[in-house]
Amino acid sequence: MQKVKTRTNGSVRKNKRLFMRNIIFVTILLWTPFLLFAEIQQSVDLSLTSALGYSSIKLRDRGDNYDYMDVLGNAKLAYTLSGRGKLIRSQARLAITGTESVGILLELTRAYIRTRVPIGNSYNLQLELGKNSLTWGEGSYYNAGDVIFGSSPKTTDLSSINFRDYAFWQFRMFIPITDFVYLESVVGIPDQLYKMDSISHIIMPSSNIESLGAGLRFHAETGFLQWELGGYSRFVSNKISPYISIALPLKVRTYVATSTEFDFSTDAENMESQLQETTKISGGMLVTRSVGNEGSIIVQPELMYQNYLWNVQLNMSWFFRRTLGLVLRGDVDIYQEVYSLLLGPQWLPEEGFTLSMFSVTSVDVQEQSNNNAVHTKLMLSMQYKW
Amino acid sequence: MKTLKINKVSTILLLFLLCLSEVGLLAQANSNLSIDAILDKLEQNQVFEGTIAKGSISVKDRYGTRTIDMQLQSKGSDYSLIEFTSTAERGQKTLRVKDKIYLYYPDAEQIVTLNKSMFQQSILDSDVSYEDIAGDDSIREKFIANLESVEIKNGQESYKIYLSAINDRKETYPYQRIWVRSDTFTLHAAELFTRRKKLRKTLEVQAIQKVSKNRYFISKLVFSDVLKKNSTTTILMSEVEIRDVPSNVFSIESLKF
Repeated sequence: MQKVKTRTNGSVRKNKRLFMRNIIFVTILLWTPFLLFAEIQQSVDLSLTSALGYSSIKLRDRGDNYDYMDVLGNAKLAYTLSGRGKLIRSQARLAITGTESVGILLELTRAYIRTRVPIGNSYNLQLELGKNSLTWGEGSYYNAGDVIFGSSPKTTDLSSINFRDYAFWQFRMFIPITDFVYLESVVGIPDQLYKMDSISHIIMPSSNIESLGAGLRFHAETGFLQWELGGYSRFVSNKISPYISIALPLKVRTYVATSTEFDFSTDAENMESQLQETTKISGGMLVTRSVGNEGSIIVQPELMYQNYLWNVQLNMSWFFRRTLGLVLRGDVDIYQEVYSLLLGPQWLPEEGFTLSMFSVTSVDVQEQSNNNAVHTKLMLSMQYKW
Repeated sequence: MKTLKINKVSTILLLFLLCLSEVGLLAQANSNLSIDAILDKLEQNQVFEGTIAKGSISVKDRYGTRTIDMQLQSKGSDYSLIEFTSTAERGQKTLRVKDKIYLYYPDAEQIVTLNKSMFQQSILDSDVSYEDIAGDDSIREKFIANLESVEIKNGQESYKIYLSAINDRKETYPYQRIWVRSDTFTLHAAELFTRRKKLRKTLEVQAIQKVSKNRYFISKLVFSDVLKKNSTTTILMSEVEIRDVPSNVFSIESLKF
């Protein structure tokens, strides 16, 4: 028993040392590039969300005493540092996120250096190393063309500001062919996160080796049609995902994407390699209209087809005044058998500041779940950037 | 919402670029000048071969004043690249190549092409819509012009010209009255009318700056939508540099850097 305790303490000390070493490394990594720039820009993002009220009505009693815990609040503080020269630019962002379910999460959400390499007199090659976002395909919620981060959103919490706030460590090369045709290749590098347990306050590292892979895309414009095709291969899980994405700049902006994941992984029990295919199709449109003298309406429905089922997401904003509007978001997730609806007013008193109050209702009717219930919560959300 | 706002910001700047004026000749008001000669001079002076500038857009309405800072580069009337430098929009860029507009969002590393249907909307909830600036700047191909008088407008001697569209269904504002400065042949003021000849918008140039011998640019421009009570949009430019800008600045690569 004593030995176990010693090992645990040793492991904690090792984690702390590793954590501190990485903090020092990251600090150096963050600041060194900025010594190159005469002008450095800084900004701070603050986001607070809290539930004002919560109710849950159980739809069927399975006899299990399962205490459902939904997202009832979170806080995020992010500090961004960026600098740019003629041939080099750099950005770093450190974010501290706190949620009741995960605890405190310290994450380097951006840390990259991008450089421009002139090719002749006409074109510049771009090279980038570090942690950054990358969007392949198109879609705010569902995007089958996003073979790097996945077709589904990072969060299904409808009160979220950005559903696809993804980033990963990468080495990226941007190769222009003409002004509007290009090739882009990327190598994904494993990430490491540090999470502090909310009860024990122990900092634990966790590595995401799934992102280890490589991909390539080709983007072109043919007349009024924009299209791209490419693919990403994951080395660890032996998966290859080619995709094609098309955007039609019609009267209403319309976009579609499809991808197929070929899974070459080996079955652990039979030690046999068997190929599995999963095809996804997503599409959406963006409709914007002026309403009255100072109002506007934005409607963005999106669909995704997966495993013979369609999922539907709707994002709608109606601003009847410049600073005041109503937001409606709905998600019909037939695959997960969860249906969610968000409705509430949003106030934008000044640039960079948003205050929202949302009623969020989610209905879970999943057959396998012990948690078939209607959950309703009233949320207050604030975002400020300065 | 953010997407739209940036779209709006970008386009108002494009409008401003079209209003940057180059003047080849200083002239006194000459009532003998034909309407064709005045419009020729005005059209010749609409666009610089290349511009690099810093500026801001301020929208003043009953909710207060919002100001967005930006940097822009342009080439002729077809090419422009705008980068927003205010904290809330920092790093977002807009590229215009002829009738196409591309938006770049640095957080998502994403490029979105602006659809023409969005042109009908107000820009930055301001007094300017995308349609106001859509199309080329060729007045004589689209309008029949009539020189009404030479008059003092806002303290400046100007040619008062009335324009009526050859095809009124094609133009957003088929009827327009413009004032052209008699000394610099730059746009001085304008009134834009709907198909039913109702006044919809006014435009007033409040300042021009001399950048070199016989060369000027409009440094302050104020728009007003008469449907929006107590609302004005001011575009202010500073640190303007007139020089050739390489063509590859107006590319996806430049947008992503």
